[in-house]
Amino acid sequence: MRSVWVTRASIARAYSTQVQPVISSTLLLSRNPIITQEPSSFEKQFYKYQNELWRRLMWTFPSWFFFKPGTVAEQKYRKLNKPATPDNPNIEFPRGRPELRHNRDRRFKQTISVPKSYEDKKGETNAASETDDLARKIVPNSRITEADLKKDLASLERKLSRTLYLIIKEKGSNTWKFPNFNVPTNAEEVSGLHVVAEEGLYKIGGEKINYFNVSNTPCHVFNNLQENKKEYFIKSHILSGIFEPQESVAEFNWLSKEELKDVLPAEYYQDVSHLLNNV
Amino acid sequence: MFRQIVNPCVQHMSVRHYAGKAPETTGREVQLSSRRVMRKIRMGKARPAIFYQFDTLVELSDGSVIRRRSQAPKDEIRMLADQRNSSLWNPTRSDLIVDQSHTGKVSKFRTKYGDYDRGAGSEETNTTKSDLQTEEEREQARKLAAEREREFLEFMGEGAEIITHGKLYDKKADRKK
Amino acid sequence: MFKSFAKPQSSSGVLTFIRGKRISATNPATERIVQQLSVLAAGRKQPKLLNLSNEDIVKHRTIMSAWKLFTRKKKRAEQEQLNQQYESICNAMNDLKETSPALFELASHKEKRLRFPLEMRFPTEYPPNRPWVYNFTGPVKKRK
Repeated sequence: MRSVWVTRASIARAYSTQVQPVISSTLLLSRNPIITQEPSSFEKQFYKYQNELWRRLMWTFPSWFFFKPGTVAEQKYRKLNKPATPDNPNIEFPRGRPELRHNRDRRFKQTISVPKSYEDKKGETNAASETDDLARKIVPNSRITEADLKKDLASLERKLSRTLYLIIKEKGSNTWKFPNFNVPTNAEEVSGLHVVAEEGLYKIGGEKINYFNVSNTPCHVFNNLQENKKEYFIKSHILSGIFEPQESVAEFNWLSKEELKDVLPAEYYQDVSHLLNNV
Repeated sequence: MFRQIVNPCVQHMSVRHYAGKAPETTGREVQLSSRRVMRKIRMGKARPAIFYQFDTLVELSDGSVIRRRSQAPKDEIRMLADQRNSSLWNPTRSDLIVDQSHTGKVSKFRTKYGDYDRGAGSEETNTTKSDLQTEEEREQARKLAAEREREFLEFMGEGAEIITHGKLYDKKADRKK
Repeated sequence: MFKSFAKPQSSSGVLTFIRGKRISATNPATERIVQQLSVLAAGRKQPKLLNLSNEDIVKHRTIMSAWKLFTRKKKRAEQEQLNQQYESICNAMNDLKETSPALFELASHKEKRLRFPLEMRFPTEYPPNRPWVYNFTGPVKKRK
């Protein structure tokens, strides 16, 4: 990759003394998805079809291996799984004769119910035992969180299946944008774009942010002609912690790609849309 | 998978019969050839070995749930200690609560036999360290040991003597020869 | 489990026929081997072959080709986006070299032993009890 830059950058350009563009780094802070993507209806149907084929082609469950004959576990298993109808020569089977092998009709898929690992407690609502009991039933949490229901755009717990990006509204300005920080020009030591972005993030969001900076290399440049600015984009991920807006920030939101399209200025969004994750 | 019985006197049985009926033998042992004769698979007749799999819900220690397929007949698995609550994987977290009483085999063993180990260990260290301070005490310990030895020999019966030289019998070494 | 009703053999005169009782003609060792083989036998555990009718085959092929198209479209879009991202990296670096060689030097400096952080988690089907970890008390490591 570096060789590409070297060859391309061989075209030198004389600096114009009139108006130097201000160099700034923009932080693309994203929250990665916490839960899996919601499959589309076509995907769902296809997976269902494939699953059915898979189940039909599965071999017979080796119950003799998992449930040793003569044990209590085997008794429980037999109670749950009744034997299939045997092929009785005296009976007519209008839809074909059953072909039993190892207690399974070879013509169809096999469905097996296994003894539950938890005790079925009905009516008992003991909160303390429910959380502590290791043999309790697994009840998955909802994929839709409270923040989704409240439509709290500033929460990190919203839209768990999507990648969210931080956008802010500075005091005195009326437009949403990614956090942008100017590179100090009069400093003795030059600090890299990513360092500027990191320090800027702490300045606007407090120090309680655990993040991962992907690279020193900027992933995009946006020429802001109105403010005569060159915005270099730095990608990083937030891992834990909380964004606490400091004085300079009026508002902040965590939005997905589609929502950014509505909020950001059209031209700006067009320029950076390929950097944003569709998932 | 099953031990082959080597007996050259009896003729070998082809394993071709394996799929179907029991071989008709009366009263004598069946011998299995180590060479497995596979059935010929014709075009389009191959069936992939898809073993039966269950849809299993796996709950990780922080409450998140994964759905996965598993051959084990369990529809629910609960993880007690994993990446989500291990301090190794969460270096920046201080609020991790891991109940060590039911995590891992070692801790289980410790809860069961920990007291025994501690008791025995402490006794030994006491006798070796604190008692052998002065010359008198050392003398006493020596006497005690001699007394114990005498008692042991008495217990073993007449003609018992302590062998101080030679090799101890090694079961493993013996087996190798 | 795999015992079958066997006819009493005349050669072994000891056996007598009792109604409804299983009589094994073979000795226990043989029986064990027969059982083992029957359990091992793949053919008995396999389901019947799928015999699709012509109409079903056409349906199946349609579904599979639709899926292929779907995945191909998805892959292509992904690849397109990746190419765009790579292009924009090159663009940005070229631009940076012209505007500020010092910053370019810092930006192209490759960090050694940069790894994904341990706290990164793969997405699960259902969220954890507390979806987000809020208590992070200040930066632990300060990277250059």
